[in-house]
Amino acid sequence: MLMQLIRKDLRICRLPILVGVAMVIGAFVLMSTMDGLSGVWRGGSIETWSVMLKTAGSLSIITSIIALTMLAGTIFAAERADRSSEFLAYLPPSRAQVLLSKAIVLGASCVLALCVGGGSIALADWLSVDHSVNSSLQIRMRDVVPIAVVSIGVGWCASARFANTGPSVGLGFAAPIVLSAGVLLASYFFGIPNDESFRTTYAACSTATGLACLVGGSVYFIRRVEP
Amino acid sequence: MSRPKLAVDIRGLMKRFGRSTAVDTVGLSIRPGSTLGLLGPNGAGKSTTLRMLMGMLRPTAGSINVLGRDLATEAAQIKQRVGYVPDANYAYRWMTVERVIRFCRPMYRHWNDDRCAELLDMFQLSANKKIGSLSKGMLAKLSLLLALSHEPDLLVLDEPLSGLDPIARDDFIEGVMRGICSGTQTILFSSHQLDEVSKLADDVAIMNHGRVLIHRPLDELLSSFKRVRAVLQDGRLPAVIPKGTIWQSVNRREWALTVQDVDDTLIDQLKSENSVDSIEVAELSLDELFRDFIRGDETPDDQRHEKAQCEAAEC
Repeated sequence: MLMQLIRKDLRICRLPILVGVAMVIGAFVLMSTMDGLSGVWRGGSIETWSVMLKTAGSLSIITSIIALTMLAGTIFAAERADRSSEFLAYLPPSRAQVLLSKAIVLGASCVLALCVGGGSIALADWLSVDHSVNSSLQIRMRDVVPIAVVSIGVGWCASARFANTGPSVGLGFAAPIVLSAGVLLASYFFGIPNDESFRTTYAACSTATGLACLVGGSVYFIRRVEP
Repeated sequence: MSRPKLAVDIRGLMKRFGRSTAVDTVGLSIRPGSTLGLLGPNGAGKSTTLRMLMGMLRPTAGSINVLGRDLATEAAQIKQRVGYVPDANYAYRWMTVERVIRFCRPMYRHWNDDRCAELLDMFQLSANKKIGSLSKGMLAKLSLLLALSHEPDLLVLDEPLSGLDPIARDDFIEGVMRGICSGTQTILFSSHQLDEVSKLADDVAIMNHGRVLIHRPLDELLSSFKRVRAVLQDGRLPAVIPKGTIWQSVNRREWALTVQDVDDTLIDQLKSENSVDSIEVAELSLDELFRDFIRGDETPDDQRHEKAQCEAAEC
């Protein structure tokens, strides 16, 4: 039964998944054809490969966050938008099983995105002889992961609430911006210096908000009265 | 598990949406193997009741027991044994008929492939056709196919015939009849099509404004209510309305009443308490009885007599 539900969810979320795959592939294609990195196809050095992989991996992680936010914002709301959730409501699967299938689809997509992006960066580090050579686009995972958590969490929670994918995806995208503005305002009023402590505060707020939204959205979906 | 005494036992069921009460302390009981027709005008609360029965809406108050199990705690087990045909099918539009069958099949422990194939053939549903391209009639047949293929103990049909052409309606009823004949299924259906209700139902319940007005075996209902037509004496008004009157109307000298348990005593009483020239008693069809129950319910008891007198006074 769970396999049927997962297949169905993959089909419903086909668009954000395909967009994500296209953007990740696009990131690697784009980086490998850019000036200075295009030498990888003409017998470039290990360092060139390493920089290309680091840059493409970083870009793929950023694009993955966009696609995963779209996926989280779509995963519940799409079924409510076309009222197919009513069909599912009178079939035997429980709300918990329906939730599990959606969590598996989103979780697997996150892991896959992390494996491709993070794997590329890790491979680049392993290949690199001179570790001082860095990509201009290299990201810090500790900065990116909280943004991903809050975007996906808010998208997931909004999707569980709304009957339209537009607002839930939009809220997912807006969440890190709104939160950073909030933390900036708070740091201004509370006199938090705009240095590493700001990043730490923002990361903590984002992660906490994202996780709370993931849990809250799940509980809301289980407990909501209508399909 | 032993066979439950009641296939469906609903007690004190209530559903409020904000301030409005859609279902108001409804009680219904259905014997195993019987067919209950739930009648009522639009907005009577039939669909809300059935949606609560299917676990698609949480009741504000009351209890629902289906096939000996409590819906609040054993919804998943109940759904295994219940087939549901909604008023509109919202199955995934992108799925083909075959795909939706493959989707539902593993969810039921008692899915019968032969039965499914037989119904597919009977309804002439093309397996490769997308659900989004099916007509309303075909969608209703697909819903019935999905509801019957797992051989449910209880079949719940929510206005399945509304909007269907006569041929699709006949095919649908034939499908339901086959379901009834091939097993000991209990059927609960809501409908506006009173002629179909008379064909299928053993018991009838009439709902209005979220309440059950009456719930009786169809034969008993038709035999216990009669239309009494009295001709009032010139210039006279009805004086005493007999006990058990559910609706009455006065048009010039003709006084029409729908009354329960009409016998000679009641006729004599009517004659003695009112100035009438003649009285005749007629049988009622389900259609007439349904209308009278609803019209009678729309007029509060204290106003009923007043209204009849006003109508008579106008002439």
